[in-house]
Amino acid sequence: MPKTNPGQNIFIPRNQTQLHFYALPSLIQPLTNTGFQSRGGFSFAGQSMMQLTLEFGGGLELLCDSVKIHKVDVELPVDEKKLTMKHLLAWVRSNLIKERPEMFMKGDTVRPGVLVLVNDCDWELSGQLDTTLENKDVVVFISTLHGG
Amino acid sequence: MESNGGVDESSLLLRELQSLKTSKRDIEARISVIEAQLQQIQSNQKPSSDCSNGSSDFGHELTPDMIYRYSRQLLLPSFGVQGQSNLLKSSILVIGAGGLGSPALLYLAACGVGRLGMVDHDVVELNNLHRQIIHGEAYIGRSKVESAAAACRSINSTVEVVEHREALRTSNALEIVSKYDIVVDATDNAPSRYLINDCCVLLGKPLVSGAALGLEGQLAVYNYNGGPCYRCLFPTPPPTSACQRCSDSGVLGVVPGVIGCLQALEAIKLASLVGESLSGRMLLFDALSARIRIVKIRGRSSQCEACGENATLTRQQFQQFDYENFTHSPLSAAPLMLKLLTPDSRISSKEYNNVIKNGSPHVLVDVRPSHHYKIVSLPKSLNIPLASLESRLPELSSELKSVQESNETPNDSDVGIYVVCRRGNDSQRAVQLLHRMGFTSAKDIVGGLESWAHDVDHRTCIIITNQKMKMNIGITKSSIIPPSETIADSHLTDLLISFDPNVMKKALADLLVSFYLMAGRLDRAESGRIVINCNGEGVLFVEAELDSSLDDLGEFTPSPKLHRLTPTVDCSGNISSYPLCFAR
Ligand SMILES: [Zn+2]
Repeated sequence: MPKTNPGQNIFIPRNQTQLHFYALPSLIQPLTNTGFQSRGGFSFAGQSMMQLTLEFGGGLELLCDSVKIHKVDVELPVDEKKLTMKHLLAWVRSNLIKERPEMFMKGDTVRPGVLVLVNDCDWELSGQLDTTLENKDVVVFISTLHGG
Repeated sequence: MESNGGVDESSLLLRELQSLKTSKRDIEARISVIEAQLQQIQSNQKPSSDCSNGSSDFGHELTPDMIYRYSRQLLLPSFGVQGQSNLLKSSILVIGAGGLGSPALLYLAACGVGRLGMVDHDVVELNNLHRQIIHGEAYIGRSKVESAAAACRSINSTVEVVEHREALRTSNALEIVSKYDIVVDATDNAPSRYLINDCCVLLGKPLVSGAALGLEGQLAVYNYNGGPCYRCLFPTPPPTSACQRCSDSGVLGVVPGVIGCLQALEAIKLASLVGESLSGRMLLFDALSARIRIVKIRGRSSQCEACGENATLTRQQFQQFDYENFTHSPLSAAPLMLKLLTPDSRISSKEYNNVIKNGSPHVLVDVRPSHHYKIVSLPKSLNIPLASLESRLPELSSELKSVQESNETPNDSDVGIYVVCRRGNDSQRAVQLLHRMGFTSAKDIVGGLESWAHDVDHRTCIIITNQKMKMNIGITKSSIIPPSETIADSHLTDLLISFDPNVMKKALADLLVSFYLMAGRLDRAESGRIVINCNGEGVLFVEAELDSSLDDLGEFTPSPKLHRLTPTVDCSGNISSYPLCFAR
């Protein structure tokens, strides 16, 4: 547990090659009894990175080498302070989707029949493409099933 | 001849045996119903002879038999007598008696729902049994609803089981669904899901919706307590290639079983007014990684076309809505496959191909309607539609005679009779009739022309590939219509007027977007008839069957193989001189 010094940012070594920048929770919200939460992001070599867990289901995993769970580090777009779902979709399309991108996206959003869940919550409730993502968020893309 | 007579006799005996078995089963079912009714009357009378008022003695309407039967769930403090008594007064409709419906129906019957309805038009097949656990081998070839109803009655004869042996359609859905309190969607296709949702919204019925495919399942409760409906969540149907079916993609039997059980559970909770329903949430089940995720979904959408603030959906609109066109996929997952004949009265399309190759004298009767026959038919076939077969038997006899004479065979019983139709259902009915009328050697071609096109005649098949997607196009008919030629007296007129012009235009705009530039334009002549404006260059009309929908092709570039469709048309002119490629 790092020594908390409200009002100051501290660096915590994660492994030998990377340094992660944590915003102290007290800066974002009053300390709760859940203890230290790492929200926000981390920066390395001048670029902000976001650790995310992406899950694909309902057949969408077939578009990314049949792997359902992807733990990824996503760079913040240049000149942007926040990572939005719009950015993430573009990132997923160019980094994870290996085939038939039209089965995942239509225009700049997901195709009809795909549910997007940010931390187990329909993205419709958090602003769809404008949803701001935070470090360690879990984003699920799931295609609706019809079989029985 | 003798062996032929033996076959005939044994098939007669088999038929009689089958009909006796059916009657026996019906009588047994009736006996169990009457026994149950009698038991009910007796158990109602017994306490009332001891005390003046039996039911109020316990403070509820449960009979002693019911108390005994349901005792284990009555003991639950959170369910109890009140939950059971609510359940006994409720009615639940399960749509689909397949992988999801099987366990749902079994549990709903067992737990004591008052009235349990079931809808399905399908018949039980051997490849259903690994997941559709309500059906047994004895019911293969028979109605799923008949089979499921028998199973439910055998578990709980006190439940009123209602059979709807038909597909749910816009024409019957309102009437059927209105008779129940709660609807369980256990169907297997996208158009049914939209149809059932809209019907439930119109009638204000809560909908327990389940789906399963491969090793995953999904569950939600729609249109309940101010929560969203299916359309709120999925306002636009997915592309057809995203709607995989168990028949194509496979499913592990127990996966729909798990979801079906959960559907029964949610329906029981709604009916007994117990617990917290899954409304506003969705359950995602991943069997392979043994994980269940329950997620929060959006609330009712004010823009929803079914349940939103400005939704204008009326019963009349519902009845006229084309759900198959809306989702670009058919309402029933698999075409009906009847098995009316014994195997010795049937041959495969490959065997029939050998009959032709060997030059065996025979007559091929095509029993499809004549307008189907005109579009595509096998060579040297005789078209007698099933409806007029009985009255046109002399035509068959004279054809047999002329084949016999031209082949110099000793008697006409050496001339084979083969019957074909589109899929192999009507041909079986026709053979049954022919057998009755004394043409005992008649056989049908299993799977009909579809199987012929699939197994024998590959000449008409081309494959277009786009990235990783393959599409098979089976050309059933192609003809070039010169511009000067009127198509009024051609069968193509039927083809044209059978299409709503708006539907046709939409098909061209939506589905054939990549073909559109090279297609002729649809137009209306002054007479009001639909014409194809092809700049006087002529039109190649192709009728083809696709194994996937054209809207999935994305940025489709016509492959050189496509030009095989247009071998004799000069495409050197401007773009409008290309033929119209019209697919359905
Ligand atoms: Zn809605």
